[in-house]
Amino acid sequence: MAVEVPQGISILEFIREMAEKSNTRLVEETINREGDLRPNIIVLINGRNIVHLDYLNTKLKDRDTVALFPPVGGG
Amino acid sequence: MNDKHRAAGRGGHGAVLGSKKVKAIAVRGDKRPIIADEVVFKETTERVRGKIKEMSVTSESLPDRGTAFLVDLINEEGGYPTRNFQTSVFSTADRTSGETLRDTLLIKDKGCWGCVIRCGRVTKVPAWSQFSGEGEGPEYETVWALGAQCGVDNLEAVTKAYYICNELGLDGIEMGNLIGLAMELYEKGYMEEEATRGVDLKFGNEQAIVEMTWRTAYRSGLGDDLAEGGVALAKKYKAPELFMGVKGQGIPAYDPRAFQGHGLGYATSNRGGCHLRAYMIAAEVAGEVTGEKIKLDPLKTEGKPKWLKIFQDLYGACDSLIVCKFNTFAVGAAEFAGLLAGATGWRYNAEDVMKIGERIYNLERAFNVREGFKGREEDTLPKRFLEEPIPEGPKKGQVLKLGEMLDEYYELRGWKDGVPTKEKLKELGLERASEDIGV
Repeated sequence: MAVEVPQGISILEFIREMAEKSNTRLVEETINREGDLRPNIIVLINGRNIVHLDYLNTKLKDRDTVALFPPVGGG
Repeated sequence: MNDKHRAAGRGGHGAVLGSKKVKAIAVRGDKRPIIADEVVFKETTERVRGKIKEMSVTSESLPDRGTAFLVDLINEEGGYPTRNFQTSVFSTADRTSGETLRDTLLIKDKGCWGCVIRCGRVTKVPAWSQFSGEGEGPEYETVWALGAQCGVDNLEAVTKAYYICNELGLDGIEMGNLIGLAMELYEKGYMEEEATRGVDLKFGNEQAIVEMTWRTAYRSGLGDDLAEGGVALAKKYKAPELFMGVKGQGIPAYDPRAFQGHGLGYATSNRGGCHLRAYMIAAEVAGEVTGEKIKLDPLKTEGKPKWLKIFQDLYGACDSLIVCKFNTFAVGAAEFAGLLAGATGWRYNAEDVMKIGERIYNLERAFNVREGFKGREEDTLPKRFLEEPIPEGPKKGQVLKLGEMLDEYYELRGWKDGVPTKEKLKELGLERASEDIGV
């Protein structure tokens, strides 16, 4: 699904925005209380694991594809 | 075939048994084996169970969606081989994903005897479908082989072809790999229309994958050519470079250009194209290895030879213990040593287990050498992976940089040009093998 977000938003902020917009428990299922990615979650930006990029600080650009695994939010 | 729907698969040893007229081996027993140290054994078992629950692959992905959970993930990584590895993204992959399988054809999960992960899928294609049938699976590899590899996204057709493979004792990976090869040969004009006996062998034709499976099993029409294997098939139709295999066995469901370590594993596998001699994907994609969060960058070559040797040795020991490799997402040599020591009363530690694996890998390699294996020139991959960059998707532009890794791998192994040295074999207590192969 295509989503509009401000340019240069970080992946963490993006996840929070998605959670707000779709009213799901997306944030709880992906981020733990310390603000870290839950250990079982894989986040890919354009097929690259954020672990090899700038982790949760990685900034999104126009036309980036974000994929979350395992599929969260019952999707 | 084992337990109807599982296979000690690939490599043709089923055919060897068949050639000796062995139809089946039945085993029955009702006694519990004597465990030397019940306490150690039980404690280690509990630890293994705990780690399996902790890791996401073994506690969520596999139980919920089976091995096909990998379809979406590998496709998103841009390494999902499509149409005989011509590209690495399949636009309709989700139609054959683990989720879709769960939501459409799944009856229930199933575990091999004693397993707590239960990745097995009991499935059924309903009676009103032209692809009706029932059985287990499909798995990730066969969803790929009979699916994206052939450009097919019809899960019912893929599943039906897979049921037929299991009933007739065909390796699903090889079957799909070869049908995809035949499709490329046909589409590119190497194979004339008459050869197909009326089967429209275009990528995407779901009838073709079912029909070619039957025809291959019975060596009927074009199936007779497929039954000879990929090397012979591609050679017959004058395009040997189009068989995507290593040492004569078809490459499975991960594009080596997208995952450098995994690709090195394909090239150096003792049994040819195989993802299970060293499942580097566990580190390069899933990020869970022996109970730790280990995430290697799939695009990098640094450090991969070292990791590959670890995987190959660990898996050699794992296979020898007749333990499912999925345990290795959660546990490793230490736990295997504990279980082995507990069960047998023999002294084993983690280092011993890894040494066993190293001996196995070297002995296999020596066997290959004795039987004519040529070394370095066969530890390679088709030109498509070394010279043709992935044309699209997240891994666009990538090739497998084998040259950056192979020498280091041989050095770590103590091999010369892919052949174990006398010193290495002696170090491993394999002097007889050394004599056998004349080093």
